[in-house]
Amino acid sequence: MKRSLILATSALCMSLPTLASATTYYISSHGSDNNNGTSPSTPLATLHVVNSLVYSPGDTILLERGSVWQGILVPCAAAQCSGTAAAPIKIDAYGDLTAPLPRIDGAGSARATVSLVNQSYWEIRNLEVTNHGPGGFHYGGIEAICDSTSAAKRICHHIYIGHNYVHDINGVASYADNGIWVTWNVHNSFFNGQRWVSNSNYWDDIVIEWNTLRDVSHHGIFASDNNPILTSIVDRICPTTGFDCMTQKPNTTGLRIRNNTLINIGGDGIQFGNTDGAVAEYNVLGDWGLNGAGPPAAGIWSYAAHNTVIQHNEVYGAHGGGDREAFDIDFANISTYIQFNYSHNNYGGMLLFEEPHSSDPAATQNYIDDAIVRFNLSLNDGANTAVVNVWNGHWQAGLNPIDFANNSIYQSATNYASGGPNITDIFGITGTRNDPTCQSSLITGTAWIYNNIFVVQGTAVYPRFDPSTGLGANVFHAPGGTSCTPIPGGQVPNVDAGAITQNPMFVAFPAAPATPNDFRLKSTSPVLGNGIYTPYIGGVDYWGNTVPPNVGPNRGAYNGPGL
Amino acid sequence: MWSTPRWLLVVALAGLECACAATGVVPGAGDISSETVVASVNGEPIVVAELLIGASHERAGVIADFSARHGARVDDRFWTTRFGGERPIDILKRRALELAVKRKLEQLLMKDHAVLQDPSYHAYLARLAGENARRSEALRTGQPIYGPEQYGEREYLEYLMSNGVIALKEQLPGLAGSELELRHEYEAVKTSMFDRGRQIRVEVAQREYPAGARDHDQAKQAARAAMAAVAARVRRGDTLAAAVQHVAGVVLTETAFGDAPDRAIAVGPRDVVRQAARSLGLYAYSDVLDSGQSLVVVHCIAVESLGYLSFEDTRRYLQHRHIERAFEARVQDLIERAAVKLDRRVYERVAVK
Repeated sequence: MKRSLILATSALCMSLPTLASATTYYISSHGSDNNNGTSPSTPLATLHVVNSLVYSPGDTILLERGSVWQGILVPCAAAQCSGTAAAPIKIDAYGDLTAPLPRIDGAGSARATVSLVNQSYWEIRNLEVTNHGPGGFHYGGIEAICDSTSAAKRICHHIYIGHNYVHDINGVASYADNGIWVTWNVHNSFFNGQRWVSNSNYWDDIVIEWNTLRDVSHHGIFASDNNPILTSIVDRICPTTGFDCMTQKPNTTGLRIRNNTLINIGGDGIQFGNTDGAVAEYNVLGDWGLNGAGPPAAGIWSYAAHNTVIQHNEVYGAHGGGDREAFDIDFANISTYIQFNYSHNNYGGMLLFEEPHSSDPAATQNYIDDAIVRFNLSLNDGANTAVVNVWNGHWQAGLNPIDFANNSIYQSATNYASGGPNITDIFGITGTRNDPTCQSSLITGTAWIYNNIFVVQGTAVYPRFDPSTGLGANVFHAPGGTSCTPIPGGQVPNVDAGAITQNPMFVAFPAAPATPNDFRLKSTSPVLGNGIYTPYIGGVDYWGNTVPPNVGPNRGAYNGPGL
Repeated sequence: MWSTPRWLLVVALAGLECACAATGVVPGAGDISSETVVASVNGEPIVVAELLIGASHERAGVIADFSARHGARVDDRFWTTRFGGERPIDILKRRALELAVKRKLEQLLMKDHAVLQDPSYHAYLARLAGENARRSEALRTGQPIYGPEQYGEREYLEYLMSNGVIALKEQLPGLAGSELELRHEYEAVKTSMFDRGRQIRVEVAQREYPAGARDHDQAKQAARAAMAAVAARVRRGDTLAAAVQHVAGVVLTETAFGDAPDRAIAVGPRDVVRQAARSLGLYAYSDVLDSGQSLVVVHCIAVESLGYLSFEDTRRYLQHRHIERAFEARVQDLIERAAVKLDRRVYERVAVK
């Protein structure tokens, strides 16, 4: 049987050499490898043959809807063929639109069920992909790797992964177990002891959109450099190599992760790093961080990235474990804008702000600079410690401190994870609860915290802020009482002269907000038009209402008229 | 370990009895549609579509099981072939029903606590249609949407169920653990979950070489020779401190590492030393290691336990975990006691593969 298959494959290869003009190949699990594969009526049958062909720019590989294969799809595994900007190579589905997507079950036979290595200008659409093996090994769904084993760096261009259904990826909780993984290898430059980014491989133009992912053991979507072990990530390469992340730009550009739906994710939802200009938007991530014993995880986050925008995402339902904040501004991020997001019920909180450890001798090489967190909604985040967690109790050393502005944060009395009276720390030092006597829990460094609404239907406990932190026009409302609130007369070293403690009157009041629209404000709200304008709050609110320049905005994430 | 509900045993028998018919009718054919009732749980109907959604959840696991236990591969005959007396199609269908029953019970619980008005699939479809209409309108008018352009039946159900379960955990009374329960749980798991690990103190003999030097470069060869000399002295019985005294250009430093799991495994000069420290036994020496910027020999000189995280520091994690487990136990109890009625005629004819 095997022999005849090999013969058939060989014959096919001879009859289908690389073609100058674009060819469409049809694959059906009901086809035959003796077919020519170039029409729907003569489809090929096996992935083995599909993998053995050499594709040319403009070629299309169509898999029949309703077909199922067990195996892996690694087109051009040996030849590493690429498309061109004008003529990418496409993988897509054909056939009866009412039939299920063509499905490939990796069944644990390889690290990824669909894999492209050093192949540019590829597009992968409309596949159902699983990789459910016996467990204990690294499994992934769809991966695209830009690697090089020579000294020369490789630049990979354009990978599109869209409209796929990736699920049941039951690897282990590691950085190699991802639903969708686009990666570039930095090991050559690194192990030569040279600077990292300037010599590494990298991608240009990565689009990951409209995919649905569920039941993935670690990352839902991961776009980052890796190291040769493939189980690790050079997350802290800046402090460990002495590379100055502040002055050299990451190389990978054009990363867009949008409109993906991710549910039941073991670790991080969406993570990327060493990118310039990445955008993660309109994604929904729920029921994540399921593997409490695995590595710490955050919902959507970047590290060592420049000019990042994370916006219009819904992140909810992080389970217990390390970190577990909806968003994370991690080491060496420059210009990170987190805006217009809705997070709720995340065990670790809404935000992690992670500067390098102050004792790290290379701290000045990987600090965070120019972070803006604005017009976000948070509902019942932060069962563990605080809603906003400041790593090591220090904001940042960068020239442009974080602006934390116009966010609406609500903690209801029924935040289940507290298991009792709701005592909430809005800001806190990672891993510890605030001291209700206001003696310790000092967060140092500079931050600008203004125009926010903090509502706790219980007791709120605030940390002490360093005098260099600026507070203005925030709303501190907690019917159960507050400790250490930074308002005039509060017990903290700096005060928020414009603060109020009245009920901001969300439109849902007297009910608790349950949806984003519930965070809009009533016409009787005391916070309409009396916030502070700065150019750092941008021009629109969560709902798209205009925030005109030089006019006092509303406090909170809603800048429309009172309702 | 939970006992098998009686109704599930009945379903298992049904699967075996109707082996020849298990792949029969595709939903939509004949008198069976996706809204045909296939079972009921405590009087609440489960329709074929819910069974199919359950099957889509369980399919990969069933394939993996048969692949691991019997070396089976997916082809046209896979689902109806008998492996060790079992057919994958029967197992898949049974697991799909099990999941559909669990979800229906959760939906009934949601109804009881005003999280969900109507647990019927028909009502769900209406809600889905409303959500998709909202999405279409948003796209038409240039408004943003989160997630897909249009939700499929399976995806939107996942979204609603995961949010509904969160609401239940917030509202169900009796899920939170008492102080005493949490303290018991703390004692039970602190060794496995809250061990702060050890602090490992090492001394490091190090000879740097220029960044970017290759193995055959003179500077790196000189560093290698120097560190080889240090290693040789240590093998002859010198302490590391004494050994470096005799080799020019080698410096000795002392440092300490925790061995708790890292957020990520980095690989750099300091991490080479850290990884070596973690793998060395007390008083052991490493080989000569290349950190990328220097050659090092690591000597473990002290190891001490850092103890456990305190109960107070872990209280919230324990409570969160307790509530999640208590909720699962509550649902499992409902499953055990559920009155499940199966329409065998429909069940046997639905193709779930």
